[in-house]
Amino acid sequence: MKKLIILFLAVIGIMASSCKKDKNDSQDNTLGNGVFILNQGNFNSANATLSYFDPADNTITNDVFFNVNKVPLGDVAQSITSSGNTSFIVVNNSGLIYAIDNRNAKILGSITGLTSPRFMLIIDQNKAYVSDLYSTRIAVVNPSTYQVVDSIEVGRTTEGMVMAGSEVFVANWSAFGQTAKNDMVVVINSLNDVVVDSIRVGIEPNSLVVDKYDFVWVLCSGGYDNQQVPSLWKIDPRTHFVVDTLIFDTITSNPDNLNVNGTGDILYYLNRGIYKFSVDSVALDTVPFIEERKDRHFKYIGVDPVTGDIYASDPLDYQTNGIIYRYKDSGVLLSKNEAGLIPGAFGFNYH
Amino acid sequence: MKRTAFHITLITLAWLVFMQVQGQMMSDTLTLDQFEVIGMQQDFASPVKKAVMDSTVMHEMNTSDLAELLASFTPVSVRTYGSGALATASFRGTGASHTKVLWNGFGINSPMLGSTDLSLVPNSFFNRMELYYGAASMRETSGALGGSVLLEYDNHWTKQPSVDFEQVFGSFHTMETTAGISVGGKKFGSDTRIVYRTSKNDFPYYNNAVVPARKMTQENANISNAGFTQQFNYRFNRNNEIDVVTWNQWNVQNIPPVMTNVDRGGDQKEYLKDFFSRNSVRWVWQKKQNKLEVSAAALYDDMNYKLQRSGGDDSTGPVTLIDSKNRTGSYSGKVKYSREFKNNFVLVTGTDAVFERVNSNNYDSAKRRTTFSVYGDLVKDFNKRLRLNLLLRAEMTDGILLPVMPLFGMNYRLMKREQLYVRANISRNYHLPTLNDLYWSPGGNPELKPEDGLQTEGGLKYIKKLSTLTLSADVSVYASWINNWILWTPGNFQYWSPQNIAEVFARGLEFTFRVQGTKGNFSYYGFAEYAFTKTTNESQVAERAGYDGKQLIYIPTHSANGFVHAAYKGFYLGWNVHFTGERNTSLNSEESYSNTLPAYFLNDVSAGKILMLKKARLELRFRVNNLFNENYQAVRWRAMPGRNYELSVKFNLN
Repeated sequence: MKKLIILFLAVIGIMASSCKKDKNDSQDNTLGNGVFILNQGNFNSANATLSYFDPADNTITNDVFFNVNKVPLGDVAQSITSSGNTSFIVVNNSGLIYAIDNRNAKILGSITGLTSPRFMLIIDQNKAYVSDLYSTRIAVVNPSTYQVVDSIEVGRTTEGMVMAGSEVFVANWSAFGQTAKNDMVVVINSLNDVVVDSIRVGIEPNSLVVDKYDFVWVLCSGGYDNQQVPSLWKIDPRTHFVVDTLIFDTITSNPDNLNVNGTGDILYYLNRGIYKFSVDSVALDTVPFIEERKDRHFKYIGVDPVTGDIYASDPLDYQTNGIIYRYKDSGVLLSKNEAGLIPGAFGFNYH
Repeated sequence: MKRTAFHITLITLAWLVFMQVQGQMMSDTLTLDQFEVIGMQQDFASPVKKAVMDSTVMHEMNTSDLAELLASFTPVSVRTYGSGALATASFRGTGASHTKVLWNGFGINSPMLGSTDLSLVPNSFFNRMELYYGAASMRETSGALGGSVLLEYDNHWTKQPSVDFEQVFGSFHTMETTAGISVGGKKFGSDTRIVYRTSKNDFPYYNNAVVPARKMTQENANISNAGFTQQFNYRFNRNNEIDVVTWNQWNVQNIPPVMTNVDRGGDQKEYLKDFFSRNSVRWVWQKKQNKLEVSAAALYDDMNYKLQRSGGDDSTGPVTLIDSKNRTGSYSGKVKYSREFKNNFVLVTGTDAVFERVNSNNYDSAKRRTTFSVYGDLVKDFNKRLRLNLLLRAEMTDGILLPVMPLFGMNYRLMKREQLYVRANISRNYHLPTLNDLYWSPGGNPELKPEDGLQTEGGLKYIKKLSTLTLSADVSVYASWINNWILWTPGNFQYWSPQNIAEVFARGLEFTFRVQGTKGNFSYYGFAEYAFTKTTNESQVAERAGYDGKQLIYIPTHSANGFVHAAYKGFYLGWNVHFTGERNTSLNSEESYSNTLPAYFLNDVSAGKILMLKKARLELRFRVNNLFNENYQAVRWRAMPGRNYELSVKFNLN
């Protein structure tokens, strides 16, 4: 009942705010601190949605984007990245990025004309990179004006990106549309947008993070068809040398979703269950930190940079609303909520 | 293996014995006098529901495709991705592959998809269309759990040669030419028909799925269809005739982006190119109460689906994301024997063999499937009021025997004076998995079982003939339980796989009212139809996920259509209204914009004039589709055209 009342109030609040068409529009603060949850939706069905989770009272509000903006989020909501009071939602098959106000989810602008955008990495106030699944160019965009200003020819398709120092490390996850093997991390100098190096890792590097020592960690699945045993790579961004390689125990596992906590000392990833890895450790765990069950399969995880809580999504049958689980960093289940269709990326919103 | 061989032997033996008995009966009865059989032919006394498409409707929709005809004039729910784009049909709350399209008695559904793209069936190629609801097509085929559509071109054995030509000019750069030549006489007939249709489909629409919402023009939606049919009929003598038919068609369908994706870069091209050739030959021997038909068909289809986007490096050209090449061949043979016995008793029996072969780059290797079936259908009338019907069908696929599929039906004339009939039937029917379900790589599941339908239906039909008009009404209620319904679900790997997991309960009601009459120079025709359809997945999986009892997606609970047509001294006016109720687009229980599509009404109006000039007939027609410019979607975020116009000129020479 309490949940219903809160939901009702939230909807009233959103409705009231969207009815007001005065100049204070963007000042509305209908969203407290919480978590944006992108619900991918089905490919070519344009049924992606945005949910908002409030960890203070464990409530979730679905369809936030449509209710506020009266337009659908689009086709396959892929990733979300935040800068100041703005979050950027990359909508893959719609070929665009929506910039929304973190305080009320209102659209501030959109970056359009992208081929198959996957992730956005903010370099500074006026520069961001957008990786692409089909194009071998990284789009250089201005996050303040929402314009595509340039592109960087990488010669490969691109996926996850992290910044270490002034350099950007880009994973070449997919082999689609390229002749080269998909086992590289490409290094770009963000000051002049020039590709400066490439570092060989395992096949299908899917996600990367930077730890508290500024080491770059790269998780490689070994290929969707299990070409290679999966591996976790540790790269020193100062020298571009691989300093450690940890090999998984079976070729059939498909680890992905590498995440790091706010303090940069614990890595989390998915491998039919949530695994935990201390950056000081020398071996991979063989049992998950949080297990999957017959009725609980994780597809995506996210780690709250402030509280350290772990969010995991279960898309169930991919045709009905999925579930979001929230765990304490000790592994204790804190909440379980119904989000939208194929819940995926998490955007932690503190403002 | 041993078991399979045993089954084959058993079936063959049973069949041989059966045929022998038939042979004896045949020779015994050949000398008997011909008896009155008219009563048996009347469809309103049928224990199953069949409907013949009215000639007025056929005329009205002559230059459009089967998808538009079914959507506007029948209770069949059509899921269309746009004008001239992929369209599939769902009868009575079932899936697209549960609707069979039978051409000259042969199923033309794709062996890969299990369904037929109805937008590729030009109505002008046929002069007879019938709808078989539920179990009504079990004599012709198994697996039509929803129903079937029959397509034929009847040769009229006319002495006069005739030529017809029709040219349509439509909005959005639409042009269609249809033409036909018929020659022949009492012994020989030749019918040639051609269709050529092109459309840019560049209709304006208001795109409220992007920011800012704006008026746009549909892009990359152009289509073209070019096809011809040739039919030869030859009558050797009073007892023997043969027909040979070929239908060949070349189709290109460009697929426009979803409304949310119009601001995407990469210059996407998505299209389907398809060529099919369908050929059949049939020999009919008829003597007194005996009729024997032997027919064969060869169906060939070559389809290419391509999805391209430009890459980053301009020199590399477009990146091909999907290039799906599929060649299917289907070869069938049928023998059908029917006999009318003296005591109001009809037997129809036959055997069918179908061999399907698929070469696809989506499969590991070429795949094939062979299906044999035998059936016997008995119809018996009692006291000219009661009719009972028993049909048994046995089928064997790749050596595996399915349980026997029975149909039991009855029809009873309730009153002696009034034409009021009550009918009921119960049946069991199996639908085989499609070859994609079995062999798609990755994911195909060769272990799939056939979908198992238990169906029952009851109905009332009333016909009243008055001096100048005929009224008829029909109401049906039905319930179908389909177990082992195949659904594709995500597996442990990064691909989906089909499983026999759903248990679908489809039930509903259909109501039709028809009126037809003339008064002097004035003639009129009209009908109204309503369908209530409730179709839900009641499996444990659905129960666990919380969507048991929830209407399956894209099937409206309420749908209705109506048509009035009036003619006076060569002038005519037709008005068609078609209502599609709200549809679920997801199985979520939450009431949200993304889970439902709103209901819509479509109105199409046409007016024409027929001029008779000795041997020639000239017809001018103007048609307005979507008269009230309804902004609607048949599939979520797929733009549909608003009000549009068609002008056609038709010329016949006899």
